[in-house]
Amino acid sequence: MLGFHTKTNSLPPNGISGRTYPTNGFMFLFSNPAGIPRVSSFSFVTTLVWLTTAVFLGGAPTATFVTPEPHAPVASSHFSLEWTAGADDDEELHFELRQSGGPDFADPRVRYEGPDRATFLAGLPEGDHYFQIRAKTPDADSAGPWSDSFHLTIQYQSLTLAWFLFGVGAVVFLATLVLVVAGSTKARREEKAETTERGAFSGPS
Amino acid sequence: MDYQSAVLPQNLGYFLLVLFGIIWILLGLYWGRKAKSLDGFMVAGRNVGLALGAATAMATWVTSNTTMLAPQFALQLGIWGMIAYSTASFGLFFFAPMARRIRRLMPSGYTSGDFIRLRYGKPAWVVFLVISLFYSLTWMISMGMAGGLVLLAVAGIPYETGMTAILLVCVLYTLFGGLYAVIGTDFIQSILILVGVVVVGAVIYTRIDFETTYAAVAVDQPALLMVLVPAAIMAFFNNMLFGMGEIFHNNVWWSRAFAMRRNVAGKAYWLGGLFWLPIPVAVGFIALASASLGINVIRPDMVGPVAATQVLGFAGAIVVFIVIFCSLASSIDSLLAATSDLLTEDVYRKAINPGANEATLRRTNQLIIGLLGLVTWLICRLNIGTLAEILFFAGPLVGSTIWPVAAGLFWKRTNPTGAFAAMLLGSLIGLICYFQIGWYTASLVGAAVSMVIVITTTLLWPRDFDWKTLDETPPDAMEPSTQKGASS
Repeated sequence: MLGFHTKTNSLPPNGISGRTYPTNGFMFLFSNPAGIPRVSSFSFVTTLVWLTTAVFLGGAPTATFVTPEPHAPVASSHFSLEWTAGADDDEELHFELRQSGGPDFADPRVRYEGPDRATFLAGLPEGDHYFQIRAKTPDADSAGPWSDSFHLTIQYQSLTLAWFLFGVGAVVFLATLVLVVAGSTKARREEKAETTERGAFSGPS
Repeated sequence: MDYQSAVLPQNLGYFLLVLFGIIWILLGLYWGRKAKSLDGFMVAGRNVGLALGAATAMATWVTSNTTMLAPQFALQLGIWGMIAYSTASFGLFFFAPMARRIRRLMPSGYTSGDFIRLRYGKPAWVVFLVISLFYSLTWMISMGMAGGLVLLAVAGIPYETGMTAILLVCVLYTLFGGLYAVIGTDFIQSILILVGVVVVGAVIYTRIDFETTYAAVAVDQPALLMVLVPAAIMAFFNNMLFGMGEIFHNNVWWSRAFAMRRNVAGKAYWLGGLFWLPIPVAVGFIALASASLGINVIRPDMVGPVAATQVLGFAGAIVVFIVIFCSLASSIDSLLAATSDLLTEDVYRKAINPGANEATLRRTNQLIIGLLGLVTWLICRLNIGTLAEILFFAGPLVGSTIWPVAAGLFWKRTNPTGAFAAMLLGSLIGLICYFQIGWYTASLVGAAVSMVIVITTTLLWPRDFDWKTLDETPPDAMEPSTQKGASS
């Protein structure tokens, strides 16, 4: 059922899109059958656009990833993902992020659910990872469609190079350790000998 | 949109900033009364005891990187990352016997530049000064920027306001109190940091159990528990050598060695390292526990503050604010004091006005502190996003100084030309590797190349050196250890 709300209306959004618009002379709300419609000023054209959008969308808006999909494998085990509901984004929207090992999302796992528009994915193992995002109304009454999948391939650096550099580092570390320990031990011995010599030269008066 | 910001109400953030700022400036004025001579201002009378010495070593090494970057390391590189970050404490451990040696060889020394100039001559001195000033300035700027960004993220204080406030407070109390004020405030800051980290870590430990944490990480972030992640393996020694290079060469650490009593320097650095070592492990653990706490990490460097607030609530946010303020201030004041000492002693006194008296040198030192603060502020205002990456360039530069400094202290026959070439080529080749291979190789390569050159030139062309050359004490000067000054 269509209804109109005044600018100061505080009824919660509900219904097909569940959205209220900020005041620009117009506020439009889909109220539930039990709601009491109130009359306000409105723009006819905006109303028409809204009606059309609501009919075709049939729920929360479509979310999309903002982060560009990498064209090459990523060498690190972490990755930042950002998303948005685009022009239909609303601060009250929630999002659901799911991950799968295959593009068909046969075994999806929910990675995140909440109001944030980004997440830092840590500890990703090597291999292909697929992600999808969708928007939901805060009370999870309706959810938008899943986005196109985001494909991420993780391929670590060469283990051989890593161990080679580790070995070089170990050599430098050990050599420095020997330098400092042996050097300070020798220096202490020399200082002790010097003190003993001075004591021997000064002798009993 | 970032939902992980402003964990503290802005008004409270301003209140805490003003409160700590006023307290720290008053402390600077109080301790400034002790800084009657140039020695008092630059090296705290050369009489700092063990407690203050250990506290200042630990507090100076706890920067905003320790509290914010260490958790990021843990999230990016896992268990190895946490351990790799804590290896930066090895720089303090290795410097302990070196500090003792420095104090012994240079009883009247002021700067690390003094050592290089006397040990190796002018060409090496020039290269060393360029490396040291580049590193010090970029570190200071990165701390200033971090201050502005963190205060914005934690309390919603506008970037310019937060950055300006932190820099102004540090400049003022360093100006008034010199190294006395720096070391004195470090003592207080070290206690606050340790208490803050322990409290947050302990509360989080009681709220979660290891089985749940392990299970959450094993399912959602399995690579964090893996041992054979190449990036972590490569970062291990690279991070250690970066830390070692920072400490071995920089006047921040040498000025403290000169400030401590002769028999205290070695022990103070050992203790400082021991107190510092668990901090990145504790904050790294907080990052790894974020999954089981149900925290959605958006910015990995904010995971510590976000986790603390989630677990401790409002009190946690205040603890976070205080810990971050202290970690920033303890590093910025040290950099201001040490860099101005380097410029006053090495550039002004040695190159421009060798006949300058103590009063002139002290005024010059204070002027340079002010100018450094101003230059830092002007660059920080630009808020260059890639500045943190510029700091990473310093990795090969500081890595290349490890062997020239250490071998210069302990080997009588280190070749001066070899030391000069080691710093130059180590820096250049390290930078090439930085761009061609990656940041995780730069310090390691810089240090390795430098080490090979120092060892080779010393073996092939040894040059004898008289250690007494390093002692520039005037014949009629009073024993430095009998000067009145800071006690433990």
